[in-house]
Amino acid sequence: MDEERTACFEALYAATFKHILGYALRRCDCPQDAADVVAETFAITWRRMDAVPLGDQARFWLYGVARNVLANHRRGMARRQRLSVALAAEVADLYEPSAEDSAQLSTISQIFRDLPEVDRELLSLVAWEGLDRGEIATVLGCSRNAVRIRLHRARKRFGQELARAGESPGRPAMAGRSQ
Amino acid sequence: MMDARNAERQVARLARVRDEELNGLNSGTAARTLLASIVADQVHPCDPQPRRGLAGWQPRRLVLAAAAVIAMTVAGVVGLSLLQDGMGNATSYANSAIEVTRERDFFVARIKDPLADRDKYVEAFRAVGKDVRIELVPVSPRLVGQRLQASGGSGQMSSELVSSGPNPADCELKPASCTMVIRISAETTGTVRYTLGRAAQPGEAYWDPDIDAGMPPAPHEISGGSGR
Repeated sequence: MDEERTACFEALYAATFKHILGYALRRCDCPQDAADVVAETFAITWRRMDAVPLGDQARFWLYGVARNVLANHRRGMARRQRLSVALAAEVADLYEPSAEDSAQLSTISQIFRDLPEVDRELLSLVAWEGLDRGEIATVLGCSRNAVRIRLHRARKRFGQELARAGESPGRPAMAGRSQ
Repeated sequence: MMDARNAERQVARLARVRDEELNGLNSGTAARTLLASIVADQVHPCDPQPRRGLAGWQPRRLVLAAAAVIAMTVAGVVGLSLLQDGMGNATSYANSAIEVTRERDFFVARIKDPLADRDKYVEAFRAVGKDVRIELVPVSPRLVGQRLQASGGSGQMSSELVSSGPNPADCELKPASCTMVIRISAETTGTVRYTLGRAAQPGEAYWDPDIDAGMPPAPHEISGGSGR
């Protein structure tokens, strides 16, 4: 029983580690925080293996856990420091600033950061995690229709703020950091 | 007004990393050690039904458990207080140097690489919740596999050489054809240190307890035995 549980968890860990790490890296201001989010997310998952859905749904469920963990971090639960040092070191270079378009990205980034948290998360789940409405509904624990409405509003607000700042909407996509 | 696709393009540009760039990281040392530490955290089958949200979660203990092992991969040393609070009782752990498995009342360690960095041995024992420091020192053939020194903590320990291959080998004559097996009582507590003999490399001087740092062994410990 325990062996089966462990094997299931190890398989889930292998399949989702990069996704959860990516989720955390894209949202945390420093690698230490990202490493903590990853560690805590999987620790919770291990304790709640009975609640993890099967198949692809597991990843979306994990995003939901990571989101809660991240929210706790952001609420200032100062309980880490010097933890998760190795993982943080491995991903530290990912935090080097992009060389190209840094000025424009800075403006867009600032506008994005100033959006309401729910808008940021919705746009991120689409643009960074590549999720559709149904999958986002799983992550957020709400209906697909609610996601549709909130996403529409988030896009609208973001577009308005970019237009107000004079950012061109039609620049080519450059997902990820510059290579 | 920007359309939806362009909104997401702009957001996508802000991603500092894509998942594809993280391929393989799950098999790195830190990720594997984190995994080992998480599954080492005992889950009690009598726990109530899965809790909603994070209200019932014990963050401190889990964070310590995860962090202790991760930090260990860098520093090799973690305070005992972290271990006692955060480490559980994983039943097995293996790396390139050692394999540790729980067998009834003992943790049985099989040395896969006697010349490995001793931190690898520490890592494995920590993953199963024990603070055991193994040092292998070059000795004459008759002392290979024998315990030479012990200090700290409490608990039983024994060691032996067993044939590595499918065919029996005389380990006293050909210690290189044998694997060192160390049994450490599951009740072992505290930080314990064991020095054991390994086969010397060609030209390598034998270990001399009077020269090397550490507690000098009692004469009978070297001549008589190891608990084998």
